[in-house]
Amino acid sequence: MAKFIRNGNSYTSDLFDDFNRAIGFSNPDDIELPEQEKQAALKLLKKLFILAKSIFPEKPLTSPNAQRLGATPVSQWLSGRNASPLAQWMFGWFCRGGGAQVFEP
Amino acid sequence: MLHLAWTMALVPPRETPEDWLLYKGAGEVAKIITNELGSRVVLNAPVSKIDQDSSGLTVTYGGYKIISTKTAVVAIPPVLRLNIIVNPPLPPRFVQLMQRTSMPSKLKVLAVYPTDFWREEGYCAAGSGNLDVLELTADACPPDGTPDIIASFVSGNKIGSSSQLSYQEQEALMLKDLGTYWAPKASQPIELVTVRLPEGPWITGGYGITRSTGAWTAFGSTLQDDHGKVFWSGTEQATRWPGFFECAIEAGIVAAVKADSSIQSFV
Repeated sequence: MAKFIRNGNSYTSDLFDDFNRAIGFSNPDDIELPEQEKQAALKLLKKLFILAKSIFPEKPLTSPNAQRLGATPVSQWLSGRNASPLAQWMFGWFCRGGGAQVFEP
Repeated sequence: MLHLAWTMALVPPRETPEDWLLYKGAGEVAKIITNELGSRVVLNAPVSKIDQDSSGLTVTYGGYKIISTKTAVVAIPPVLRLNIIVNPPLPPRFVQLMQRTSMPSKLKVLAVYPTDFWREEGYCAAGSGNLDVLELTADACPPDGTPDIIASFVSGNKIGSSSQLSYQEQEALMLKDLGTYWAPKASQPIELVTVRLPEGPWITGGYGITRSTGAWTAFGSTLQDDHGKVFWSGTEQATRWPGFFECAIEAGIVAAVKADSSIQSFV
């Protein structure tokens, strides 16, 4: 089992391996946050995974929209999509805690 | 955004890149390799200068020692390459990219407990959340179960903001968050080990790299450019699993093959 803590509230969940829907290590269905906020955050997460599929792993600089993406901070990409605090935390978690990078969004 | 999307493409979470822990920690790999190489490994002797001409390289290390060689593989964080005086000089475009490729801010926190109380309650110590300093935790017990350890990290600007505090005050924040995640007793470990990657003089941060916004597309094409007979190697160089062991091995092999080809050209 895993724990997710947001704004002082603690939720218990099975360790969730559906990474397209995970919030932290947890199943969003087990987190008592407004459904609309969770779905909006997961929608942005899905957009990130779609974007990742458009990147050429060996030649990322030749990927579609590489210049625009390279010049766009993650925080700006998020604010342009009206990201909720939950979505901003999820992306920040990837940026700061991801295995391949550590940076501020 | 390109950097985040690229790493998501190369290290997709669904492939669980962090599925395995190295017994005794990642540092053991360096120790094992060092034991195999014996006296060929020279410690505390950083390279300060590389002179290069048509006959080969002259490498200055350890302050005043010199070695002549036909080629060299430099495997240090990109930004630290700039600490080496290279003749002929590195191209300005490459230097500019290195200046924009800093090492991340990261503290690794290991809390050691007398029992694995979280396992007894059915937890695997996987925790995430928007707490003050620790945004994730994980079980880091060795295979035989002892010592009982929860690992965590302080990352990014959270280090910058807390670095104005004393070590004692920083650790108090970490312990508070551990207690919030797992139980009041989690804030009272037998020992709290904090590995401060930014304080390591040979790395100055970790793990992986960061790039300032726009730098990659503006200067990035030079990242893997060889400099004559000097070849760069690092986990950021490869196109699969950057930041992971697989990638470091791949980058090392690529650089070694290039160096070998370079030597053959002298024959």
